[in-house]
Amino acid sequence: MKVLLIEDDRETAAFITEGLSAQGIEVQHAADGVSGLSCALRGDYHAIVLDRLLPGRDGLSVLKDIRRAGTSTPVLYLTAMDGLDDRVEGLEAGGDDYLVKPFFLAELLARVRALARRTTAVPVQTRLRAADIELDLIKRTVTRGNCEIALLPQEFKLLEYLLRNAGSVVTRAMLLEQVWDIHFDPKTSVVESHMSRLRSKLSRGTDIEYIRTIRGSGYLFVARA
Amino acid sequence: MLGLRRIDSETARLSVWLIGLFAASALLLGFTAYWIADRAMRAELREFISADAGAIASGYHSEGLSEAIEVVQQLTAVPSLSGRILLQSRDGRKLAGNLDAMRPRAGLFEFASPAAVGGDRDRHTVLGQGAFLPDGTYMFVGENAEPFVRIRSRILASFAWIIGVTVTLAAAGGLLVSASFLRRIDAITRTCRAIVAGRFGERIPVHHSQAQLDRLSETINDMLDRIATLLESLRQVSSDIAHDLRTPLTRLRQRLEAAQSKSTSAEEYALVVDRALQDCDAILTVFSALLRISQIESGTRLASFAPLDLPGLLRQVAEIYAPVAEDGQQTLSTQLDGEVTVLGDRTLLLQMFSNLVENAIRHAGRGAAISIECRGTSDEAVVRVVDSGPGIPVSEREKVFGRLYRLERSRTTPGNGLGLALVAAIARLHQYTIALTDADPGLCVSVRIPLRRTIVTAREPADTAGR
Repeated sequence: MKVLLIEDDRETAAFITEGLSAQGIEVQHAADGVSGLSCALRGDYHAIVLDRLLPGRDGLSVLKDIRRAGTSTPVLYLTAMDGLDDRVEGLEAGGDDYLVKPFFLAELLARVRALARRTTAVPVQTRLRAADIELDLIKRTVTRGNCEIALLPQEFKLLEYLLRNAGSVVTRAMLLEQVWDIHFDPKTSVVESHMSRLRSKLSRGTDIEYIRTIRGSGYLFVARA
Repeated sequence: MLGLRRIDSETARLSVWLIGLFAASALLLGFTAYWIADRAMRAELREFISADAGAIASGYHSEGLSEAIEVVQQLTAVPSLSGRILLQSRDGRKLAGNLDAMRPRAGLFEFASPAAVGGDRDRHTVLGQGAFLPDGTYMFVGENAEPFVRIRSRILASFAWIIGVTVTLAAAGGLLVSASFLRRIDAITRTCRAIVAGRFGERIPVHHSQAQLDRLSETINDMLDRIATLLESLRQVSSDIAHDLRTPLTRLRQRLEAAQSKSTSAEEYALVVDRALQDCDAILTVFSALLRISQIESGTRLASFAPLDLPGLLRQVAEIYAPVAEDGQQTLSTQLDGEVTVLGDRTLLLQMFSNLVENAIRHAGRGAAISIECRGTSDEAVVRVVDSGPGIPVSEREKVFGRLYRLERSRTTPGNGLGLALVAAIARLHQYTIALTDADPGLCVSVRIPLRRTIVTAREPADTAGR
């Protein structure tokens, strides 16, 4: 996997490059908006990590130019701009995800992977499948083998997101944002509570562990049992 | 002061305009009255004149000049006659009448008669018609126009007075009105200057006399209130950051310093680094919560307000937190009646109600019953989050909405004391009012939502959740 990192802070850039490289991701680094834009237009990347405050040209205008040039590479903002409107503004400019600094490397890694998957994902799916679990988006049913599993709406949404990302780690923040539309840090164990219910419903009568907890990162739905 | 002098000249200019306008209208009125009176009197005199002139002319035509002379003599025989008649030969000799010979002149004219003829001893004005008979004899038939002239000059005099008084009144009124108007403009200017100079408490006085100016003053005052709120929020957040971040940062520093001097093994260092990371995360959480509160209080989110389904939003909150409550052996129930559409920011309201429910879950204790209720009438909706926990003592109820305030017994549980401050900020932005009451036992948080089409952004709501 190849990722373009547009980031002016040398230390942050080194930290990210090192962290992603350790996970086998090839990182190309550009230190300002202008060189970042030319890299983005020339290279073939799975994802772009973009700082919003850059010397020379700001991240937002760089992204607009990338999109204008017809490049649809997924872009993740990595920024200290934490304003309520900043996120909306960023996503409207053509960004795909938004991660606020300071961040955990595991969070960045999970999000970059999720974005990179999007480039290769099958466009429209009405059924999601992983291990022996199948989720039908039209009939709104979940089956394990031949057995139907009854889920509450929130559990269904959670499972849908996990299945779309089966085989890779999703973080707690990603789940909160994508499943519950929560853009703040809850003070209670929202994710854990829902997760434990979903787990017990999926695993009733078997000892297969469908959802694994990855310590310090998040959760992973196993692709194959 | 330059500003005041400019205002004075402005006053003068306005007054001159006013005076000119009043004087012109008085003049127009006077002229019209004069003209109408003059015409009416002339018409009346002309009637007398033409009757006499007719009699003389018909005498002349029937029996010649001598008969005309006789008619004149008959007409002028009356001693108190107001008529003035003259018959004069071609060579300027007086033939008959009560006027002296004069220079012949045809047509209607008036002149001052010098002679004390007839009953009039004084000089007086005569208005009459001059004409020539076929043989060249000059005939003048007129009337003593003195009473008429006197009325005319009295009209003129009255109007001169009226114009004088009008101009004086206009000058005084103009000065008064424009001075009061400009004084108020000046008050606005002075207030704005005071604000610029840093006296943020100054406001423009509102008199309830000039509607337009009052509206302007009130709008400016509202704007100043808004600015004051923003400044206060900015001041608050800076001092909060200074106070509340300095403490944990100091602690972090001390911990690292102690490790530097005392730790010897890798395990010990690892432990310190672990705790330092935890401290950092806590600091960052406080930091972003403070920033978010101040951002909400700045009111920029008003632009993203949209109508939303309140029971639907509360149902979502209940669905999110039901499993969490269940894990604490608590029950989370809902009573959501009817359809209530409110205007608001979905993201913020979700956070507000989530915070209230989380608060109940975290502080009500195991086994507590928590309920989310929503009832709407035509002009307001009330959302209640009720728990059966220990509640909050009356004396503490106001304080819990302040920043970084935590109840004594909560100091041992995680949390930064900003949850309810955030709730208060979101409620204030939406102009909702929050009240804490006893649920006997437990706490009832009620959020009153006024239902109206638009949210007035200019004025701060009178709320109970204030700092």
